[in-house]
Amino acid sequence: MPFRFRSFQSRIVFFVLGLLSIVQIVVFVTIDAANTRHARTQIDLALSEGVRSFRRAIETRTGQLTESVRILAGDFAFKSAIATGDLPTIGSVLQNHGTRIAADTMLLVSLESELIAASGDAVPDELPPALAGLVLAAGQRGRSATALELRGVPYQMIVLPVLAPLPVAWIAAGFRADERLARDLQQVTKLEISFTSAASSANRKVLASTLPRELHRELAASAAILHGQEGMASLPLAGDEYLSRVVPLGGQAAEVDVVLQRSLAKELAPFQELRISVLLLSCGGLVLSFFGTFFLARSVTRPVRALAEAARSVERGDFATTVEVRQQDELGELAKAFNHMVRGLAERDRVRNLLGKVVSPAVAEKLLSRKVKLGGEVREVTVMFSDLRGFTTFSEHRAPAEIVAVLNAYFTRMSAVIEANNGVVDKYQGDGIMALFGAPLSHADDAGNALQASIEMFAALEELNAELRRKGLQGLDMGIGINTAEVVAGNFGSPQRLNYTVVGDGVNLAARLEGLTKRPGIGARIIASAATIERSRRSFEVRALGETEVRGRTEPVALFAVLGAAKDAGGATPPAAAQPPARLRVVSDG
Amino acid sequence: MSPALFHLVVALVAFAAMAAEATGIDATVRDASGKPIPDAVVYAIPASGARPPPAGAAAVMDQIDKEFVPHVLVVQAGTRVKFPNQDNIRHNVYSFSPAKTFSLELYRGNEAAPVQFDKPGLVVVGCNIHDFMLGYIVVVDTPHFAKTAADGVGRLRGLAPGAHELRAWHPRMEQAADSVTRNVTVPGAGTLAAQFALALKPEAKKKSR
Repeated sequence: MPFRFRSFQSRIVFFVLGLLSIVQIVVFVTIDAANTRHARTQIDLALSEGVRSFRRAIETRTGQLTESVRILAGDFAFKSAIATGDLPTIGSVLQNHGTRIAADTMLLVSLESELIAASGDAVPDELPPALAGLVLAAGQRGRSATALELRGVPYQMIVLPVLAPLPVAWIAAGFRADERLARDLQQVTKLEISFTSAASSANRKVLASTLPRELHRELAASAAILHGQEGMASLPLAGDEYLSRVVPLGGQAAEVDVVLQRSLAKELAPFQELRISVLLLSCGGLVLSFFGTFFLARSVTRPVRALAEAARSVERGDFATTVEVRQQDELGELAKAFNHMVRGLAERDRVRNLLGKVVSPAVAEKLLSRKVKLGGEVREVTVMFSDLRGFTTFSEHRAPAEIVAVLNAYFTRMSAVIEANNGVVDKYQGDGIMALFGAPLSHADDAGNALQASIEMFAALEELNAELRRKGLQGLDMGIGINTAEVVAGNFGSPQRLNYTVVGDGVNLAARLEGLTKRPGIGARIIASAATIERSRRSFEVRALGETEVRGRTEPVALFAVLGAAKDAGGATPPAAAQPPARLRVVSDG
Repeated sequence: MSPALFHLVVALVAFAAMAAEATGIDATVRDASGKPIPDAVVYAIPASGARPPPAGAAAVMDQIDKEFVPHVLVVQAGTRVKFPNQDNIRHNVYSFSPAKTFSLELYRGNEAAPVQFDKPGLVVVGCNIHDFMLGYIVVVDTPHFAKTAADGVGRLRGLAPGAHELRAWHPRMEQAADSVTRNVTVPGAGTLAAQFALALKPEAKKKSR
């Protein structure tokens, strides 16, 4: 089952932060890759440029050294001393003049390539073969220079003839390629400079270097691989990566290699700072985004939760609930609308209670929409009471569920007829119905509506009876009493339970008229008072039943049996006048 | 030093007795390609007998326009050589050659004293302040010497008949200190024609001054 978020807030935080993280990771990785690529390109350029600078610097230095040696060899006193042939003198002048040009070692070689004299820090017993080769080269070109390793020390050797004015000997001046030179060259080339023995050397080692001493052994081993290679190579040194070039120090015959290097880590150092900054910014961005989305989400979820909680309260029936949302946005609107809705619901609920739960939704809606005043008032209302006959007998030997079903079927049909005629079911009492016409709202012909309803109710009862008989049940009979009178309409009951209804003598009379229908000999199932008959704007076929006395009234009340709708659709002729009063005595028992 | 050094010298000495008015040697010097070489030094040392002392007159090696003139000077041992300076600048003429080591401190005109060359041999002369100045003084132990003319012939006259060591030398010879030697016999009458073929280094370009 896929993971589902329990809260909108964590979902929005998760997704915003997730997307942001992905974007930031992509940006970070891209920047990082670009930086490394850039650094390598930079080093490549720096190396090429550095090697060029190095070659220029070495060329210049060799030229300068050559010139110094040339000047020295041309010095007359030097020549004079050489000419003496006195070895101590020659050794002395070599030392003296060597110091002038800061040479570290000076050798005098005969035209026959024999070592005559030497001075300085690397005095060999006989001419080293490499130097003999150099002298030979000088014999051909008038001068020569290369780098040699004498007693483990790298020297730049310059060989020039001593002219008097023809060559009488060779002077070889050696300049140590030491750490100072390496550092000088580092200044010029911006590269790490190391002098190592050339590959021919049996035990290759680092002779001098700008690199820390502990890297020398590792460098010596890896530099051997690079000897004679053109182009750049990557050497690992102490965990770092050095892009390196190896060039011979002064000519291919040189016994000394120069390793020019640049550290990738150093090149990346400025980017490292950038990387940390980007990382910090990313983290900061994430933290800010977290709080931002958290609060943003909360500004949505809090009111939504409050609304949900309020909705649950309303569901429980607490219409006093209001939602406190101060936001001015759509959620604020929603909360406002919700509060309005709850107030509306509260009102409606209250009204619904007042009307009674039996009031049909359509009628209730109509009533509510007209802003009915529900305070007590005196108004003319036609009151109808209906009652089933013999239902008690019917109920005997029947299952309660069946009784309820039959009764509800009866109520449903009757209520529908009443409401169809603009009546309102005020209450059900046992198997009886109390209905109002003209309350709480008046209609054009409330009395006529009541009479029409009573006739239709019998028609509806016939249908019900047909249905019952089909089920093998006994049919039902019914009596209806109708009276029109001024009554008090209003909400009655305690504050917890109020009911809208009507009270008054007129109501009692209607109930009594319904009771009269049961009296044997009457032969009427609908009895309406003259007041109702008179007020009806429609004509009905009636039969006068005589008069009855009503308590609190001086005049007796005329009663009529309602038989059906008028046969001729003529005007509303008061039937009372046309028909002779029936000889009926109504005995009031209330 | 170049091994080509030893790849030199085929000295072809041809003798041809020819009738002549006086006794002497006509030594013709050619290079390896057979071209006659001027300004080569030829001299004959008698195998025996006393050599006459050098004439009293001093030889001269001028300095004109920062060049030694002549470029090659041949003198008999015991001869004094003057080094007059005809330039309007000073020169310091010196040599560290084993045959004669000397140094004439900076001087003008005829200020410098003559230098006597007693020991036979090659004396390479330079100027202390002008490195490019180069002169050769060939000190020989005989009065019979000559420089070859444009036709490459050096003419030696007044020689006593008999055995002589005939030598030829040129500054561009690869082994500058050596000369090419041939034993010859000067006839009682007429001139002996001798031929030398020298292997020479190519002419050096003149250095700037």
